[in-house]
Amino acid sequence: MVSTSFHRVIAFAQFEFSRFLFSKRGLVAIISYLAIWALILTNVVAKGAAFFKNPQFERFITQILGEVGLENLSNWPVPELIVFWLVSVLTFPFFAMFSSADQLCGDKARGTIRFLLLRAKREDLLLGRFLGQVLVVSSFILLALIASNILIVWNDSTQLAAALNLSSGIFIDLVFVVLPMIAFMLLLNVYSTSSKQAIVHCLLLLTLGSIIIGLLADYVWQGLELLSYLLPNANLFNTLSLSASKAEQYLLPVAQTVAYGALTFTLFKKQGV
Amino acid sequence: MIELKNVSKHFASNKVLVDVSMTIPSGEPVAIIGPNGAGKTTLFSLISGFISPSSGEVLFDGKVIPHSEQFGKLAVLPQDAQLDPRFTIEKQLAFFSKLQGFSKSEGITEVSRVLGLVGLLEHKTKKPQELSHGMRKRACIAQSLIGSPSFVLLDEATAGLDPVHAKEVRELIASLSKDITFILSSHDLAELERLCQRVFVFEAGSLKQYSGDGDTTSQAYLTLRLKQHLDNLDNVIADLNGLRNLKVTQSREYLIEYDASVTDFDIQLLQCLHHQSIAYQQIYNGKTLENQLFD
Repeated sequence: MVSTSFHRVIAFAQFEFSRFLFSKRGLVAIISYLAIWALILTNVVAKGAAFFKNPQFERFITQILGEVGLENLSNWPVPELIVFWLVSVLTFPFFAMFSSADQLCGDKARGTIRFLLLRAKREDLLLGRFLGQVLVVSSFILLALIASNILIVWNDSTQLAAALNLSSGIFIDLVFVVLPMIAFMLLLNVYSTSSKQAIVHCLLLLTLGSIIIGLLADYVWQGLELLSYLLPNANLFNTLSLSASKAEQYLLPVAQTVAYGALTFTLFKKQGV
Repeated sequence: MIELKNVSKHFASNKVLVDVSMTIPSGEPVAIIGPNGAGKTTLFSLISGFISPSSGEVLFDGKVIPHSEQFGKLAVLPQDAQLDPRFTIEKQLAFFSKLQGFSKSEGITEVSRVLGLVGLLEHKTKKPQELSHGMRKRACIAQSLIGSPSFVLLDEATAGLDPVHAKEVRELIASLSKDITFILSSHDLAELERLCQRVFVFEAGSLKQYSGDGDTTSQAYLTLRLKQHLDNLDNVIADLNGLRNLKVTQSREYLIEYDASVTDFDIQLLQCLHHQSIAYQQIYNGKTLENQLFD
């Protein structure tokens, strides 16, 4: 019998994946997700793309995107993916929030976590659960992208190569968008007693936190704006408009994820279960 | 071996355990007894590594808990812990065995073995909420038997079980105690009496006394339970050689202290009762756990 931290982390990640996908809650989430994305693809993406493709509106669209700081997107050759990107960047962090709302708190409330910690280190459990959720959310991103590509090819098969090329980049960028949110939810799980409480805490921190930081930056000292980096997806609009630097787009989410993870481990280690 | 060195635990200003030092080598089952609030569950949580001591050290096989070498060797039935209601007990126990390093096929065999030990094999495909309280408890006991643990801590193992299944669990503990050191906590003192030779008595967060193998004191005890209460039993047995003291512990029950060097004291007592036509119900060699606890 071999049981190393690596084996245990992988086991936790696999079980987290099946815990979500093959439970009743997971099935409801999948069905809801498919229904919502079917609506988004058929109504928002398809109709939005048709609007983008209309030569009469092309200049108008470019102007509009420029007005709201999204002019970089007008260079993308597949209009469906422009709409997909706009919708995804804004919705997947919330999807990740809901999906990863119960990484620890349910098990803690039930006492199930004790059975696990008799067989694994706390860091094994945390890392495994986090990776499992990354796997879950990434799978949903991939599913939405595949459905979008099917829609694109259905409308115009000549766009397949361009769509696939763009989709791989979108997939990676979206994974970086959701990473800090999943880690942030893990952190909130340390002190939350239920997934609903974790979601409420998250929404309060994101809204009130942003407002307070904005007020502090306006009325106390401009430099306090940097505090916004304490919250996940602080640079979401820059990512959305493709104007984020590489560091902002990739290093910041990784740094936030690592920081939330380290804080989670420190707090969870001190906490009794 | 489990060792506690000057362990204290407090939650805010509430001192739950105070300067506890004890050693539990492997061997016969061990009972941890004490009234509510004595610190038994906190002690179990400390040994399991669920909480950290405020001061002092808890060691398992010479290393401070928690450490990865205890995984699979130190098993626990935590009080009030429940399995995940979303998955079958087979799937959950298979996952626990996977964490302990079993391969998939080995895990399935192992899960069948431990579920068979607690009589739940035919219910393995059920989810916890489909089982009765007693069956859920037995499933939790089964998880503690996965692999080859050297120590198993059972906190209130038979609480909520019907007499038949409580007896089965006791028989299971007795049958496995050659290979596994069980540490039991229960409010059922009669149950602990049947199973445990070694007893730690806790009171108000402190270790009050230990009795167990190797006890060599000059006094010995018999606990006598009569069918009818007798006010003058002290006069009836006054002439027995070696008698030191007699105390009425409750109606019809007497604690008799005698000189340990008088080896036939129990025979004398039985003969005396026979001659006086006094019907007895039970003679217990030593102090009952109840008397140890409330003495």
